[in-house]
Amino acid sequence: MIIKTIFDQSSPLNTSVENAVNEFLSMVETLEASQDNKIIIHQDGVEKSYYIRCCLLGKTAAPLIDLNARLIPESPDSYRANRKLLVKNKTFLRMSQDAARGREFNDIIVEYNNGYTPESPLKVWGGQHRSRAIQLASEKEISRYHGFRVYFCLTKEQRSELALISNTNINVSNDLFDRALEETMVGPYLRHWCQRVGLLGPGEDFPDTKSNSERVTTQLARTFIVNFFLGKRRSAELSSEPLDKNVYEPYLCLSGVLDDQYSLIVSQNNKVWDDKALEESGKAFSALNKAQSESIKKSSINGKSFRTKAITLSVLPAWAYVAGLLQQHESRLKNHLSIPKATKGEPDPLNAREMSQYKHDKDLPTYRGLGTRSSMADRQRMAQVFLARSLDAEATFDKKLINKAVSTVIGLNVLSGGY
Amino acid sequence: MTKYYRELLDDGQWFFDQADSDQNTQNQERFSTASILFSFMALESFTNNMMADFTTLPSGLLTPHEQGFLAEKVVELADSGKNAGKFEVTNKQRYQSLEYKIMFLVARFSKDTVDKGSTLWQRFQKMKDIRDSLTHPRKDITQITSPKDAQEAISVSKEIIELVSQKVWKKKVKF
Repeated sequence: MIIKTIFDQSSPLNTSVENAVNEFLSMVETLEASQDNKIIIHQDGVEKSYYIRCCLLGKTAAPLIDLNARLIPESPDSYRANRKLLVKNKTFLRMSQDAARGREFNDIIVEYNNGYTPESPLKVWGGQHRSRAIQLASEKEISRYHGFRVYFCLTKEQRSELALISNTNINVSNDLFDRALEETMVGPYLRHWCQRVGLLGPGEDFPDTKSNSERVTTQLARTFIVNFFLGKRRSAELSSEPLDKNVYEPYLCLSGVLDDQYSLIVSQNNKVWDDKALEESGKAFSALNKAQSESIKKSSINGKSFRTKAITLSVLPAWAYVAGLLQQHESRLKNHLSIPKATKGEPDPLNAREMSQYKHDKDLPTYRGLGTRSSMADRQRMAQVFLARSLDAEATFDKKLINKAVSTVIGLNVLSGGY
Repeated sequence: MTKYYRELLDDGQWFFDQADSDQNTQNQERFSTASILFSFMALESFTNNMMADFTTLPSGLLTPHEQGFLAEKVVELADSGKNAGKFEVTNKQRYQSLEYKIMFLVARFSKDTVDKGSTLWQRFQKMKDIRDSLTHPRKDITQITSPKDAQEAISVSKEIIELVSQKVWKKKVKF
């Protein structure tokens, strides 16, 4: 049977797409084809990607669905792009029950791609939970017509965009967006670097939501890289003498987009991933992070915020910035890269409890302690704390050191007319 | 545990509330006195902590006399050693008065000075005189305090803190 396909008036003719659609229609039985209806090929006005709308029976779609869609199809190293399936989530359980009772779903977004796992060419980009519910219903021989949008011949950018827009109507974290963008726009380098220095385990990926994990997110890993080089650049501008007379501004990469500063660094310097000093700092920070986490786990103050103190949005950027800043100051760098001894009576090297209790008169009554917020003021303070500690290998993050460092930042800012 | 100015002001407020709700005149005076002292402790705490922020600055950013004033230490001309002939901060204590500290902080770290003719400064001086007579009692001076004085001490302390914060930090304080 020959199925008629036509391009809508906004969609320029494209032979490759037409061939791909025809291939799909010859392999997959759609409701439209069975009714001898025309299949309209549409083109998205933004990313210029082509797609059709069609209805598939659950039993037809179920074996063809691939929930492990790749952003880079040709790379077996490309990690799973979608968020984790929440199979115990109440909403999903309800969705599955409904599917088994005959619920019909619509606007499930898939890409037709038989370049990998060709037995399942429908790569799901939007509606993975609905798709899974359809599969489960199909196992119970419940099969209804479901609405699909099937995309064809996607480029890397189109696929990445599709992954993002398909998830904007549900509660998807920026961390997932970051991970997807990193993989398609930059490649697996950041992930590999984090695995090499120990910030991620072997074969481990960045978490899709920070709140569910205790490891660095894509945003934090990018932030580390950026701050190391920002600190190094600042150091080159300064002579040794005034190092402690400045307030430094560690940077926090934006989340949910490919941060400009990060893009600039990785695009301008193709040796970033082989930089020995960066790697040494990464390993040292990873060791600090592990030591912090392990020491808190064994203590009576075992809480997530204390275990993950090193990878907060102010501690990590400040630490990385100071690591870059001290590159020309060998002994101070050595101190900075070493794991500090715990303050007397405290279990952890970062003294998370003392930091959490810290408050300056200038802070609002609602201030939750040092190194807990992502604000520039907190990042400046943490940078000064690390800088102060780098002066003395034996120094610990005690109240005195913290007080002095924060006072210095505030005093210097007043003198310079800053924050 | 160190109490910061907000907690001290809260204490001042608590004692004022007690004074204000107690019918017994003697108790009213007791509570009012405590309230005035706590309110001024809050102001002293705020001022001293701000001074301390500047004492931690790396050397060379402030003069020895400024450093000495902020640290409440005596500054002397060194007559020996590598600093011979230069002024240096010694370990000898020299306490500064509250009004001097406030005036210095504003004058040195803002582009302004304290307006000593303002109503606020006059009210501050009056309450400070009361506070001083409470902390340095003499048999020839009788100091009686009332809930009204306590309330005024809280207001004055808050307004001076607000003034200094705005001038030095360029930031409004939230109590």
